[in-house]
Amino acid sequence: MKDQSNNPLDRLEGLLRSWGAKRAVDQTPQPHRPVVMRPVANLWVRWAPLAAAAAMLIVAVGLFSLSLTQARRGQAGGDEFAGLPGPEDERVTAAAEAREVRPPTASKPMEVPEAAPVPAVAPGRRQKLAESPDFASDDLVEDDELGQLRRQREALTTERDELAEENRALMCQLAEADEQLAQLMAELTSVEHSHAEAMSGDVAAMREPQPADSEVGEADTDSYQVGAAGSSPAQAPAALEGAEDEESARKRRDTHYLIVGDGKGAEIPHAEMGEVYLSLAAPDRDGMAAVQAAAANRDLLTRCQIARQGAGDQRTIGLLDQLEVILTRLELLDVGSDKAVSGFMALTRAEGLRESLAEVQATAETKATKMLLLEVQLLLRGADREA
Amino acid sequence: MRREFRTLAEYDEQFIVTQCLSGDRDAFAAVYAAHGRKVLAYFRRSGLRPSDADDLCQEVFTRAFRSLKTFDPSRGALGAWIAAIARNVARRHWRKAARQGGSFDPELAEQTLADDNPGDDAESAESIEALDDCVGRLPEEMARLIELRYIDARTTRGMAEVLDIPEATVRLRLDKARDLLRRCLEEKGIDQ
Repeated sequence: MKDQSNNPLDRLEGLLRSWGAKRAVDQTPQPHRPVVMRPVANLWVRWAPLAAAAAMLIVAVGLFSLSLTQARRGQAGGDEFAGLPGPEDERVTAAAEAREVRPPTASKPMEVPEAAPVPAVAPGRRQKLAESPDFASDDLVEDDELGQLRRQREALTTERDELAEENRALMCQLAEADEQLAQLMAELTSVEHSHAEAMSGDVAAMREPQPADSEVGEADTDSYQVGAAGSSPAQAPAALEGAEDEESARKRRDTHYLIVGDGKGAEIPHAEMGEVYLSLAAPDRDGMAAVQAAAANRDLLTRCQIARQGAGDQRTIGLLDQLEVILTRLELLDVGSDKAVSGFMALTRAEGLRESLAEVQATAETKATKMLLLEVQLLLRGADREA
Repeated sequence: MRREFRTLAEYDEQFIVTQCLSGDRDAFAAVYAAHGRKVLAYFRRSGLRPSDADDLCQEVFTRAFRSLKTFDPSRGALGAWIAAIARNVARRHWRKAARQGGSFDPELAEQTLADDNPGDDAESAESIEALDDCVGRLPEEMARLIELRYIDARTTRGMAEVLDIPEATVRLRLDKARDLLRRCLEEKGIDQ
């Protein structure tokens, strides 16, 4: 919709429009300059600097190759230096020769013939001059481009030597780091062995027919069979199920057995083994604090991470990932908060976790993983009782 | 149709363009200083958001500098050439984006790019100065209306939206403001 007065544009309207346009421009700030502020000029303007740079580069390369050629010749004809006039005469002659071997034109540097007639005495003399300390300060040679190129080459050679030295130092450091790494790996292996041995001792101790354990086991069995509420604390699982029938009690009792060790069927009633494990691993704590302390004392999280790195099959990797989450959560758990504890326990009762633990533990590739999974099972069992 | 002789301004512009093409940054800056604000004001008065207006302004000058070698002073002034690029850029922008229907007056926005601005000659400059003074004497709400209409290039609807008043009220107040300005200019001896 155009918005104009109904009247034809009078002078006031025209004036107002001009005024408005002028004021609008006046009030508008100077805009930021565009990023690209270079117009596309003609080809000559665009390419001339590049062409000049390329020409200079070609000339430089030509001169450099010429100097290399001369140096090569100098090495070949070193013996011809004998019997020449004194040093002063040599300098003058060398400078003159350097001028002679300049390329005829800057645009054709490569056309200098390889076998150009150079006086037989020149190369050896030039080499000697190059080695003399006052060569660089000689006015005759100072202006010579060949001399400049030679100095550049010397600078580059020095730089290359420095870099090579630096490289050697870095290689030494690398070798030392490799050695340290090997030592650390050896220490790690020994620590793993000691852990495994310690756990073997614990399990063996638990397998020994201790009077208390035997009694507890029998008491449990009895309570399951009878299905009545027991008076002993060890009879708690059966007591809780007192109202259930014998069949369900038997099923429940079966789940309280764990296949441990080499997985060949050495059944140990472990409803209490969790408790035993906690008392061994964290003797001075009780409740969920004991669970937390046991995990910390037995270094379960670190071992889990190490086992995860060495695990081969996907199922083990998945389970160890899950355990890492659980153990991390346990490490950070506020054991005084009922809500936090119940949340943690819900995590440990994830569907299929306990079964996976038992199955993967039975088929684990390494002893360390087997031991870790066994300990986690015991820990979780203990947590079940303590929570 | 090409003219036979160049004006002095054409010679100046040709010089500036030549300098720009040879990579003279000062020449670029001169072109930008001369036309940048006008182009930006055009986009702003066309109802573009400030950020979009800035972007389009940069696009205009980027295009202009890239194709500067195609500029021919004998066919028109550099300002008109840049204005044509600005119009094309704006048209392309509006084709992509939905235009804010009816809030801004394109005719007034277009006047921003007018090459032969009446303010250039001395007489018009005097008239505009007088008008400036008269607008300053208006009641605040009327001065605001005049500014919205002629500086911001808003339509009646656009002004009503900004001031949150009915369009009819805007028209009445605008007519009254124009009457006051006419009388003020008569008092100053500016011919109506």
